[in-house]
Amino acid sequence: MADRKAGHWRDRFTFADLIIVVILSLAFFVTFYPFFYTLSLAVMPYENYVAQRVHVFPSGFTLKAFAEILETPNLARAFANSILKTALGTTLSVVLTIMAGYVMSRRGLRFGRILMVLFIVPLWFGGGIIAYYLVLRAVGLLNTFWAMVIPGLVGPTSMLLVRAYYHDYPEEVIEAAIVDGASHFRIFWRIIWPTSKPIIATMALLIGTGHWNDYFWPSLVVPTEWQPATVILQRLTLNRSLFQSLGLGVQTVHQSFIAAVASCLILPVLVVYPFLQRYIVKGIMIGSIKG
Amino acid sequence: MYELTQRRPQRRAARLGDGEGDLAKKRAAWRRDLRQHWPYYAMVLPALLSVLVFSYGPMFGMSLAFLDYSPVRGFFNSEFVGLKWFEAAFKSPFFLTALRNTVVIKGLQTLVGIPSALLLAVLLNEVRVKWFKSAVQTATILPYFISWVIIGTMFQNLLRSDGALNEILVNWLGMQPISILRDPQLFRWFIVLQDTWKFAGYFGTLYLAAMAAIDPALYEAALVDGANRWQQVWYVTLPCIRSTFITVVIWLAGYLIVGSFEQIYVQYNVSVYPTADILETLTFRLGIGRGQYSLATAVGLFQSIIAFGLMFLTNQVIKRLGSEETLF
Repeated sequence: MADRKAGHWRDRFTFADLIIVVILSLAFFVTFYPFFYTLSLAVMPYENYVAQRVHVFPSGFTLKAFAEILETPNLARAFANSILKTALGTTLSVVLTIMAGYVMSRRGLRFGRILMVLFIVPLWFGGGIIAYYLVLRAVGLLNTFWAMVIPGLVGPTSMLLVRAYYHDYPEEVIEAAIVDGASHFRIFWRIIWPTSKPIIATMALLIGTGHWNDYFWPSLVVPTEWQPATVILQRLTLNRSLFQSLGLGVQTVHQSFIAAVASCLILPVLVVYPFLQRYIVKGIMIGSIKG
Repeated sequence: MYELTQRRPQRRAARLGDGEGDLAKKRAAWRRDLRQHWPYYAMVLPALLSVLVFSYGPMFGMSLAFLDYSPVRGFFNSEFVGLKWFEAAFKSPFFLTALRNTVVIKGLQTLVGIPSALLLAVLLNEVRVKWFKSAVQTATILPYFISWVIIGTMFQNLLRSDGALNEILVNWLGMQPISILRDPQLFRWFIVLQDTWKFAGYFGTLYLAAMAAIDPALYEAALVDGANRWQQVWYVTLPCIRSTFITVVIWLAGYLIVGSFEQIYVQYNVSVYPTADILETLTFRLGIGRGQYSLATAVGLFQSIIAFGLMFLTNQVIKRLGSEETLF
């Protein structure tokens, strides 16, 4: 086999290449089909669903299920909650985490080592579900909207990732700015932040999807009217009677409706991911190699 | 740089040591550092507070494992009972089953998951057609960004008695329908494979990124030595991503006893408890469900300690085997 890069791939398409393509196509299909199936269920009209015995392929197209979501007040509200929680939580978290990671990457700080130890120890030891619940109660966050946003504003793992990213950032640039009379805050916002797109994008995606997908704690410590859509989806999937209690009509197919809710939760991620994809790989890579 | 040169004489003086003057000098140095660098410390303060309250706070809560806690009596009125809860836990058949399930499921997930991710990366690395490589990579990493709740819903649609899978089996192939979600044996394998489904793309991308950093000169050297494509993979690609791989393995080792709570919680049901109830789902039922806070905390604490021990152990083993890519 000649040099890996030279020549057109068609010239040397071997049997091994064929096997590779088959296996990878299988991987593609297996990861992609469940999403595809859910999306096609979400847009399937009632008549088609009832008429056919087989639902493996999409058939028909209607946005009725989505319209019904908008008309169901509890559900519409839940999605609004999801959006609010994600927007607020992600913005706060990303800013604070990057600030912290940047600080921790600077080497001239006397308290640096102590802080590092403080941040790393929780990686090994957790408190457990009950203990965490009690802490929430003690700080008065129990049964509030903020219980979904405030805790875990800065996770140690994220912070370490950011720190690894800023590890090699030249101290000279910062010092030059200090000589010019800039405060550290100014340096951070005017110099560091604008040039940190990769890590901001990575953090935004990781933290953002974390918030958007958050299910467990919101289902426990947040009052019903503030619960995000993920919690409602889980209840719908498990509990048909909830479905009836939402007051949906006879023509509504249980499966399509649930699929539509799920689709609403999936689509934003599908849309955002391609834009941030190139930063992700870099971010994950830096974090794990150096971390 | 100026600050570092300033500090050296003080450090030397401290090391040589001259009694109390020495201590006062140290304290002055710490205070000076605070004054000089206060914006830095201010910037890291929110993060520190967050960690102190929400990561260290629960650690105090772990003491519940040693108390006879009842919400009525409150924290400070609960008496100390030592290892009573741990004993109770170990004697309970539920606990032992859950422990076994946790280890078995997580062990299988790791055994299947690690090679799958590696294989995915190796194969993707061999692809020269950009759009195909990109498409497969994007598709396989997608499940990582989707929550278990949605995944649970999707697979429920696919696997229920009138879902896609059974439609194919019954209507196309004329077989009996199978209920993967209710059969203990099938469910266990389902959980294992589903975990690979979710994470193979993520870890694969990680390995792939590491592979992209390999110096092409190494491949050329291998070629000169007459290596075919698979030999190149074995002798160049795999060894070069060793450090990444080992970091991942050590990281996963600690999680061997920390099961995938959400995955099982959103999909399990009573019929599959025998094989799928893991320590955390048990803790959840006991703790939040039945209010047995102390028992639940004891189980959780047990898990934490073992997890840490496992990670430490793996780290030591790797160290003995001669690698430097350890976490400690």
